[in-house]
Amino acid sequence: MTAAAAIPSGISGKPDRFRPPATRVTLVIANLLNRGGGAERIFVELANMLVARGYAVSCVHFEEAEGAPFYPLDRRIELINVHPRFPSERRWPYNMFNSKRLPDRVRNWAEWHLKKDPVIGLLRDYFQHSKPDVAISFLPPANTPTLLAAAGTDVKVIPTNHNVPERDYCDPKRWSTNPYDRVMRMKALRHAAAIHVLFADFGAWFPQSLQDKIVVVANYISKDVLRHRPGERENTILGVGRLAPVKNYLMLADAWALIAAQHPDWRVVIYGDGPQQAKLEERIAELGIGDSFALGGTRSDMGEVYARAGILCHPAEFEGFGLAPAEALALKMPVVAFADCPGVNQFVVDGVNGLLADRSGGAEALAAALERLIDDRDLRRRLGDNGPASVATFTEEHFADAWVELIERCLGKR
Amino acid sequence: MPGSSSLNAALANDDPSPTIDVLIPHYNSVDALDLSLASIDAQDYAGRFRVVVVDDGSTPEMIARLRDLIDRRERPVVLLENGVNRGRPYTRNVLLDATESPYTAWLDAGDAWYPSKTAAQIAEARALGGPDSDTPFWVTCNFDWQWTGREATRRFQTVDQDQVMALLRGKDLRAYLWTLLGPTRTFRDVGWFDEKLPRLQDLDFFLRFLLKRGRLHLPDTAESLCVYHKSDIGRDAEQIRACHAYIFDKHRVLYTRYGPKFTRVQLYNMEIHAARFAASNGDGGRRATHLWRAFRHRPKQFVRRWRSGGLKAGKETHQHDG
Repeated sequence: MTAAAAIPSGISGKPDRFRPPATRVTLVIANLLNRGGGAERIFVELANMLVARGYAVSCVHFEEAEGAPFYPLDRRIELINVHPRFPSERRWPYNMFNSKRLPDRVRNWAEWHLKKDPVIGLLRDYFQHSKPDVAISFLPPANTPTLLAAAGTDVKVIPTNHNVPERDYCDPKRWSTNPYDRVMRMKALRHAAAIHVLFADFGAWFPQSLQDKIVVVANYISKDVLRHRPGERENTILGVGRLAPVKNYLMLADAWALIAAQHPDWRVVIYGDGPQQAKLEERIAELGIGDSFALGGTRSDMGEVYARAGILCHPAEFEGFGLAPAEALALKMPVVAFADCPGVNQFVVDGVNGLLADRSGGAEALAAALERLIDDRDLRRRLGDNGPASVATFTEEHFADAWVELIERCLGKR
Repeated sequence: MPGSSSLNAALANDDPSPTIDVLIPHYNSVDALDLSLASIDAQDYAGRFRVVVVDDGSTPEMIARLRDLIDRRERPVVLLENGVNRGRPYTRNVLLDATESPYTAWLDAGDAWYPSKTAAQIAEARALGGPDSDTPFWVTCNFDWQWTGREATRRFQTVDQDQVMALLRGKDLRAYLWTLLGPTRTFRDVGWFDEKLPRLQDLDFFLRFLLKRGRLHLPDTAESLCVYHKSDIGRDAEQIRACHAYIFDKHRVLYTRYGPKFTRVQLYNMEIHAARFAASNGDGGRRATHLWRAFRHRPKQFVRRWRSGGLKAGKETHQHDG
């Protein structure tokens, strides 16, 4: 027998002991399932950080796809797909506005509303009834619907921008080819409580009327990378990133072809995959540099590579936040890039922690910068030693602190 | 989030018979609790049960009987007392906070498990990866529905479907905690029971579990593994309707994303359901009010139902009962 002794009344403590966290934050992104991109990683990791800091966090997405988030989401976080699960009850508007006889402006307007309004309606339902205190939206496809859905509610929306604003808001091929979408992207920003950008000069791009809403929070370098310690350097020039035109690896191949013969003890390895892989392989073969220029595929533990390689070459056209250069600098690796590359030139300083080439000089300029570092071991060491200090603020703690401060400020608590 | 007690979950899937916390809320129903405890004692599961009962402010006489019942038992029971009546969700939160075993199962005083329930559910839980599974899961089961004065009928839980939609419909997948066994961590990760829901807090808890990537599973048997003793007498129709309405608001987007027709059907069922409770309590006025509201949501279906005699007292839809 022996039942445990009855515990006297009052053991339960205050009646409010089981209240959920007071502040509710919702993160919104258009597509999350099965996607391993950089924005999706930041989205999931920010959600996990906020739940660890005591917020009630839910993640909202709207996509037809089935599956699970690629990056592990804390089990305490709700994940809600608000993509409509019912066929439209009205087909006639689609048929009517699909007519080629209509002016482009009318057709664009109608197409946009027919496509976006169901999602905006469901998001508004969510905001009106779930009543989060703050919504943080990721990337333009989520920023616009989130801002419009929350307009008129008490929800404070912080749209986040993870690229060069000019590309996100003006490039006719980026995000949507419908010009009305670009108009709405910019117009919706007036409903924002704050507008996030990665660097201060990205914020300066926005019109004067939005300047008081701009908030800068840079991305961060993963602890998985920082746990590595730089070791003996190998004669390797590293490229890390998606094999896509914007990364400009074809120019790296061209540059290497110019100097490869003079440096037979050096080699180039690019880690990553992407749509330009076949073209890059073709170029390597054409240039006859296959012996010293390799595509390494993807690998999960890049920290180990950064700790051993000699130079990171990042010839990209533009970046939102150049994570690969930042990670390389954190592990004392000098960086070669183009001086006009936004998202990199904010923290890579010519002659301090790397070398910045003039893009107008093309492959020759890039080859010259690489050769200067190859030939000068002391310069490599000196620039590398300056790396960690130049990216010292790009930490998870700093990132999480900045977001907590921003959320509290939007709620008028700070 | 709940809990500071340590869970030896890492090793639990190697143990074929891990300890299971059985959580039972109690309020002025000692005889019913005795029936439930007896059904735990009769389990053919080889492992140990750690039974936790939380009394929610029963009368002094009932408390005395409860303590006596527990003292007389051969197998120990952990008894906690709220001291005052704080409601079912609060009591369930006290229970959740008291968990410390790798697995948790729930039981309500008056309902009973059949002897093979735990063994069948643990076998399924182990097959799903045990307490450390990457994917949160609960194992539910088919059950018997025993109306007072009628024969028991078997109710099937269907898990191979859109579980959110199925729970909102409440027809072939029902949110009953006492059917469940699952890793303790998965219950804790859902968070606390919503204290604003004196009824239907199970449904809210199930929905939140699914939103946290949880999935309901069935053991490898179609047999009923427990019995629910059911009666509408004394249930407050207004309170149940208010709880339905609260859930409808709280989870509005889950309804609306299935479309306006689906939403209308659920609102219609909510009123029909409330009308059933009002009828059982002999409250004709309230029954009429709920039937009128149901008519407004789906007039054609209402008239069809009325003509077929489906609106007679006791024949309305059986949805979530809270």
